[in-house]
Amino acid sequence: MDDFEREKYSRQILLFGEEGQEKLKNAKVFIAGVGGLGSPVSTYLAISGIGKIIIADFDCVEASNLNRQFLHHEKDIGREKVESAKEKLLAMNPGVEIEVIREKLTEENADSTVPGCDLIIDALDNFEARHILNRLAVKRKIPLIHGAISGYTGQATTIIPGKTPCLYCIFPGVSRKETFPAVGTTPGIIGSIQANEAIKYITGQGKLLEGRLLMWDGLFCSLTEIKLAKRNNCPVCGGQMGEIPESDSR
Amino acid sequence: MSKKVHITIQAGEITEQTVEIADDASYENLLDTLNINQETVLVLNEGNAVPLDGTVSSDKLTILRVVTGG
Repeated sequence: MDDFEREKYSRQILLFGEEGQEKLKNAKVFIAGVGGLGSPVSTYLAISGIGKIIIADFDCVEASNLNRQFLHHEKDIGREKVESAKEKLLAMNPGVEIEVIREKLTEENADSTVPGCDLIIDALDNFEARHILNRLAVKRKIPLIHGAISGYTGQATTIIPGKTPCLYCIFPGVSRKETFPAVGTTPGIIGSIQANEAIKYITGQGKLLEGRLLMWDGLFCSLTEIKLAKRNNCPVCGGQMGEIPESDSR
Repeated sequence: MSKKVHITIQAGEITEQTVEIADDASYENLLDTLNINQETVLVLNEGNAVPLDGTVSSDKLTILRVVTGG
């Protein structure tokens, strides 16, 4: 770490020392989605000094994104979100390495498309893709930090494979992707919580949202915490049995 | 044999109802009975989420809507 980095990250170094800052610098984080949640997640992780951030999104910027997806500006309409996001993130912190993935994640390509990383952040907008990411996180035994929003409400939890319920344990169904209402502050709050979880995990500080779902209601300005449980027989993580039934394993 | 379960549904507005389910019904069976998509809700027993493949063991449950966007 050079003198400029020591100055730039001095307020964080007060929290977790140069050792913690080095951990951030050496970390590789995969962020699925650079929309409403992905904007605050990738912004806070980039300016915190995460060494390498891999962002994946196959969408282009649309006018309807601009009320909440603050990495994308009016001039970016029509551009690939990953390119628009990379430009802004590097402008904020040229010291971070940004890798972009333009492909849509599928069951078939997820393992080969997602490079090796220390943790995965779910900044997606549908559960079909979230379940693909969950299976990948469980297979690789790396944490998955989940977030979701709609309107004024949002939720977040941190999944530690082998320890906590996986995403399938919590939300086993799949529904169609649909247009949801959103005010920009909601993904701002939930995305900030996800980034905070990532920083805590990497630096080894605090207590993660393990086995707990944090629910935010912006209309009442209230946070609720719900204790989560593993399924009895989870086809993804094995649930309470601790092993995946042979008939379900891939 | 069947049993009655009092359900509070929190999905924007709060509604309550009582349903009759089989003694060995799972929470997934309960949601099917109520025609509720499993993905969009959590079932809470005394404030804690229950695994949906478990057997309903309480006569008082809360169904809480969760969100899916990003």
